[in-house]
Amino acid sequence: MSEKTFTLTVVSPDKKLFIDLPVVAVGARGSEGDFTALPGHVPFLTDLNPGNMWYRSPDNTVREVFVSAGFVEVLPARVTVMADSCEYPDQIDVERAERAHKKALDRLQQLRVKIAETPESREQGELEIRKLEVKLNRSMARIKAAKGTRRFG
Amino acid sequence: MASLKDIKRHIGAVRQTQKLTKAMNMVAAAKLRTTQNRAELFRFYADEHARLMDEIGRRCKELSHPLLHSNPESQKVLVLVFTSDRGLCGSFNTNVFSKLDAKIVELREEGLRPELYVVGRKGCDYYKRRRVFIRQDLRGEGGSFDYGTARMVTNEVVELFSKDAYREVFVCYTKFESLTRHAVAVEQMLPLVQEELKELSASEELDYLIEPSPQELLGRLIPRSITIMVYRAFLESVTSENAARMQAMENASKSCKDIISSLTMAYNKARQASVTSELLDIVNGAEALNG
Repeated sequence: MSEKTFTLTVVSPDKKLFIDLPVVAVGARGSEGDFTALPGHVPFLTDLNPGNMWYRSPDNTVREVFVSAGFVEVLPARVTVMADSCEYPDQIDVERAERAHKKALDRLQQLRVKIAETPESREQGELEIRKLEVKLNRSMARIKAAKGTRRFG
Repeated sequence: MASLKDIKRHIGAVRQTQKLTKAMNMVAAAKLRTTQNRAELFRFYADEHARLMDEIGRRCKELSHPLLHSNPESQKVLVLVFTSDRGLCGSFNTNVFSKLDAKIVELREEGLRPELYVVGRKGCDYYKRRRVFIRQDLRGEGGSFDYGTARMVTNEVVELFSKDAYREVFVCYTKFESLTRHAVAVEQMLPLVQEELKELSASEELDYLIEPSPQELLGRLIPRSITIMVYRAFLESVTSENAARMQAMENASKSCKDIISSLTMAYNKARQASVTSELLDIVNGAEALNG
């Protein structure tokens, strides 16, 4: 294989998914949009939105990895992903994600009702709603990732 | 003098205790290994994070983030303290308490009002009976504490810090140095202390493309730094707890062994004495018949 490679490292606080894995391309969704990095990319730093990232190995297979929010550092010869959690889509516990999703939705509903009834709780409630939306996003991304509705490359 | 039967029963009881302490020793050792593994994995993540913080910190000359500034007009100070949920771990908790008590006295002498965020049941029990205000507590998490819990604790602490305007937040935990050495440490958590940035030579300096702006990214990294501090403090604390428990249980097993051997000695002596006296009786009886 004559293609140029660089290395990919994906870590979370309780897992090293892989360290210095040789790959030919990496793609992820940053907070400012999706991007793809090839060897020799300009040094680049951004944070990640929850969702799937992918990498292409030298033997031309593409694999997806689910990451919940985190950061990515791209260097010409190395990509480092620091995720809050990371897993292969087929290892995602869909049931758990769906439970979390439902719980967040229910709570959101409750809060909306509460705010409508008691306007003075608005400020407190809205803060929690924002947090819940983050949670919803995460669980939705996880479910989506597990069901493989997104395809790359 | 205790009868033979009593001694025998006593030996049996001590032997049971020994079985128990040995099992607990092994459980603690297994737990110690898992937490050490977790700490190892986490260290890698934490190091990468620190490096990233450094890189970005170097690029923002003017930092301003609410978590970098204290609330000087406030008198309230929060201390996040890590204790264990379960006992039988030697002086683990006592050491934390004596260090924290000293810290509380020190803070009071400065005219501040310390309040506590206690993790662990033992700490709750201890401070409930003392004149310190427990702002929050978290119990029964010892086994299942993970990064998510650390994030939750961090969110609560950060919210308290910014909303209730605490002057500073400290964290008090047991540092794991080696199997037999653990030291209780009190460290400042908020406002976040910035480490001195190392000056890099021009060749090492990389021109990063940063999205969104460095300031914004740093703002997102800072809460994570605090979570990392909390999680590390917790991991160190659990590792020390298990090491302390292992040590305590080993000592207990050893004293069980000592007690068993001295009891066995007593038992044998007593048995010998009864055999001798029986023999004497028989001999005396025979002699009386002959005589």
